[in-house]
Amino acid sequence: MTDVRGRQVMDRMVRVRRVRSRQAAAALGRAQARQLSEAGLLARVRTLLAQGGARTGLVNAAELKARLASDAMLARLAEDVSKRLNGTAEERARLGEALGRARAAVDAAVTRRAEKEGQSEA
Amino acid sequence: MIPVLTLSTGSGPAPAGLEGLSLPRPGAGPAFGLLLTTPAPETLPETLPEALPLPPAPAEPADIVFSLPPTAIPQAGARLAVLAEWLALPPVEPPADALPEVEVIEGPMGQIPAEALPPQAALDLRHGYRPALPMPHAPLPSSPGPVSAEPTPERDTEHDAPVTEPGLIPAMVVPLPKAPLPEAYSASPRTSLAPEQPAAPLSSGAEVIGADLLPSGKDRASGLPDRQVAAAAVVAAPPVPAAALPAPAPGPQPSPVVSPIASLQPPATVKARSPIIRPAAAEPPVATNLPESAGGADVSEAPGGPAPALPAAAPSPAILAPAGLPVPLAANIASADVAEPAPLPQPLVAAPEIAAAASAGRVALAIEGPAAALRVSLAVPEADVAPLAERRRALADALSGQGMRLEALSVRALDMPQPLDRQPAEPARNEPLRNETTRFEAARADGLADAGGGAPHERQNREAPMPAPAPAGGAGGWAAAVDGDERSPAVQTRRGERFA
Repeated sequence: MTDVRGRQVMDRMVRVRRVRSRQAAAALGRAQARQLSEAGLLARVRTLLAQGGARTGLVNAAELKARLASDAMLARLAEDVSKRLNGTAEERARLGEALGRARAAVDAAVTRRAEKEGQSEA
Repeated sequence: MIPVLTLSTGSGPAPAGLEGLSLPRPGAGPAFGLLLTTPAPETLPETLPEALPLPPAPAEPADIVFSLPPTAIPQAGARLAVLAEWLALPPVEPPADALPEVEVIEGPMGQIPAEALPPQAALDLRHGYRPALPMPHAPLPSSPGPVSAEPTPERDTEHDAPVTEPGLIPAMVVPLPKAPLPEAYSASPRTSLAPEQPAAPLSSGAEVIGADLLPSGKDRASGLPDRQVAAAAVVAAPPVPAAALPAPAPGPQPSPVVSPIASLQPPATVKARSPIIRPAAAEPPVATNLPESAGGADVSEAPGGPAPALPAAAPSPAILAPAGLPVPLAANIASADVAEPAPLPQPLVAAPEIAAAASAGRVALAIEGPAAALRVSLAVPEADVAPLAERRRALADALSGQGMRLEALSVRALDMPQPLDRQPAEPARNEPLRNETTRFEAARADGLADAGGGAPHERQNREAPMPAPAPAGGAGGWAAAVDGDERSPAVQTRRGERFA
């Protein structure tokens, strides 16, 4: 009877760890999606910055001032997005490691469950 | 004759010979007009900025350059788009549902540390949002609850509480009640946990949270208020004859056993708690709900009547631990407290310069609602309406990738300058010439991102007619043409108003 309950406990542990593994995978997916979006935004901002004052033709002082202000804002945006991207990259790495550990925990539980089953049959 | 395209920004007097054409009204802020002139070659200045009288510098510099028309700022539409996308980014702080570290759970069989549980479920329990599991925060009853529960189907989704199965209780950890247990209880495997049952009033006035505290009607007679079983989580404990339980030794109760995993947790989230088995109250119960398959006998039907009562003082968890099993799960789980609820996501806050500009009326930008459902309203130059509308899809996708949903993206045309002869006596800043507001119901993140997806009314909303983009080289809603003929219309707005 103890074996039966032990197997039940192991089954439950496997399920719990699988749930945790799926949650870790979902969190990693969210981080990856956020990283992609931030990288895309950063690329667009930098492209706009590179093309900021490249308009040909005559410009007056007000326009020039406006363009400079626009570029300054874009530079601030780029800096902020860059910081976000770095943070997201770190978070993604951390979540990736966590996912690996969660899957290892699942494998360990499954292995232990199989060993338990084998011992019971023997 | 080569036309010269001149951009005039700001307010101020009209250039010589161009009075009354399209200069923005004084004090209207950063409004812009487009002048298309054909000056004589001999009068063509070398550099127009120096030739044309520059408008006086505004009192407040235009710190929000996105309020400028696209002719003044290159790629103003794209800049607006990145601004909107940047505003839609979530705060830098980790979201509330961020998962803690997932530790490899290794330990003796039968131990399911609390950290193996979904954090959201723990939070739900803490806040009482999900009544799937009993919340032992109510006053403990002194009499039994009259409830029986239907079996709960096993749930194994990542958003649900931990799975349950007959004979096992969910290893959900909730704060233990402060009050001591009125009765001791034995290791009673539970048959089910009802997710939603109305609270059953007890004779003592307390309420049973969960209403599945007793697995069967038979146990009503036993009076086992085993709501604490949820916290105890005695999963694998075989029945222990009550008579075989030794009386607890006087003195302090032994401290609970904390698993190695629990010791790895931060002290803020894991703390040792007192043993879950407290001194029993007056009415010592008996174990009656032990199925025979689990190794127990229904003592209420056993010869000789009910089992003898437990001693007045309940044993410690170690005493209740069955032989051959490691530390009871009860002590293990009860030793860990759930983490404090994470703070809610902070609302998005626009940059100070944006807020300042919005307060000054140069940029109308509003973000409403929680971060999970973003609503963006932008007032942009008319020529930027269409490019920004095209960007809404990318904005919605970016939001959906972050677990957010763009509820609506409202774009309206920024006010355009009015001719001098049509200006009101007291011109209000940013009085819109166009009240048309094109509202785009953004594609939701849950599969409606495709242009053809969604319900018909949603597609209709997405396909709402947009203002026609400005002609090439045009700025805003203005199109001016001076073709050497003074009688020809000099200015024609999009609304059909013509001014000589």
